[in-house]
Amino acid sequence: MRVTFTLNGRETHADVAPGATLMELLRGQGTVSVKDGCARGDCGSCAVLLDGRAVTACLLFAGQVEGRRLTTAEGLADEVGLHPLQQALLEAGGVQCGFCTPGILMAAKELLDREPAPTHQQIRVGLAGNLCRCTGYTKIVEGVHDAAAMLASTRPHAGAEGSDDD
Amino acid sequence: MPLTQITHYHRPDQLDEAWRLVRDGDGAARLLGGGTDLVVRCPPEATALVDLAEVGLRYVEPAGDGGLRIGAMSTFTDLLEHPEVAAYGAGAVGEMLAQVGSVLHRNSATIGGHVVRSRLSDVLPVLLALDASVVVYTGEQATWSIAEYLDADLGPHVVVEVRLPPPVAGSAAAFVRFSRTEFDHALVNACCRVDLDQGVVAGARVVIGESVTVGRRVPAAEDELTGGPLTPQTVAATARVAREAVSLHDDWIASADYRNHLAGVAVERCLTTVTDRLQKGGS
Repeated sequence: MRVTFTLNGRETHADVAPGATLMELLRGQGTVSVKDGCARGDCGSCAVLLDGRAVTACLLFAGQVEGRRLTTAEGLADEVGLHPLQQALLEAGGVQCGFCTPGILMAAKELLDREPAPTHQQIRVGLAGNLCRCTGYTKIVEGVHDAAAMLASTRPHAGAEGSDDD
Repeated sequence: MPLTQITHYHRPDQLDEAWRLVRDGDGAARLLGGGTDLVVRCPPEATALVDLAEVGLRYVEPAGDGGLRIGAMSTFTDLLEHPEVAAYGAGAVGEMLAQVGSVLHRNSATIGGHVVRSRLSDVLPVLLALDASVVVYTGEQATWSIAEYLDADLGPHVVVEVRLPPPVAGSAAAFVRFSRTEFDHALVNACCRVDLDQGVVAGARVVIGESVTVGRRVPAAEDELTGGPLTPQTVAATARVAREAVSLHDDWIASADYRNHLAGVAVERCLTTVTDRLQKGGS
């Protein structure tokens, strides 16, 4: 069957099997930031934004994104450079093997879009569905705090950029 | 893993069309809400999906009687962010929703899908304690109490909405869960509601659930609480009765004795919170 959706700002058409998951659809599109970790919604490494909300691509059928707007980690950076979240996570040491990083970025993106100045607890709750076996989470949480500060310091530009996923 | 047995994907935009697809599918057509459970546990006999996204069941509206109508396709995030839903039961609904899965799950999972699943639930004990009802469509609409719905064998049907009754003055509820990790299914969960009338408990709901069952009211505990004041002593007595009345599951994760003990603790904590909420005005 054919599914039409917007992927990182581009209208996209794809032919998929009726029982295909969103994960299979996206990896078939070359968006390999969507990691196939547990395939049952436990690890969050396949998190993407669906109409601005972070969801696990492994627990949705491809047909569920018909007419909807998807953002993956490939859609964060632009020609100028990394997204502040990517930059902050790198600088804080929140990236080690990197397998979980795209999913964490998307969950954090949703959090900061909703709550530009999150508390420590809000960050922990916002990332509760994302497992990381390397970092111990402390650096990731610090990175999200730093990203919030970076975004706040460039708010007018960040607001225009962020509106795509609102 | 691709679900290779699925050969058809339907996106009806009318409720009746969705119902006919399920009815005529003779068990091979499965309704699709959020997808979070179906992707993982799609039965092998299912060959068609009926996606309810276009049927118009994602809403929260006031009911004519002062209660709330919650469309079956509303996600848990929709409900958590809806002020009236989250505040319902003096905050018990929001308290529970915030503990269901992670943000990633709450953004997808629907209340209708959860009711249909009827297991592994933190939601159902709360709906039972709040006397919620379920509207189903089988060619025509019918309303069932949530308790009746969970016990009924309806055959093919579409859950249309969940209804919360009008809030009762002097009423409050609370929810507590215990699990191995924050993210895991509950070993034991409980929701208690108390309706106070001039300082006397006029009505009570004590519901205890666990990971493998949907949750049940505990009449002996409700009787213990009803007709007297709500005090630390009556709270403790009710918790003791609840612990002795339930017979929870015994498995490799936790013994029945441990679960029964947790049930008493959960009821005591719920009722202590309810007492506090009632002192602040309740619902």
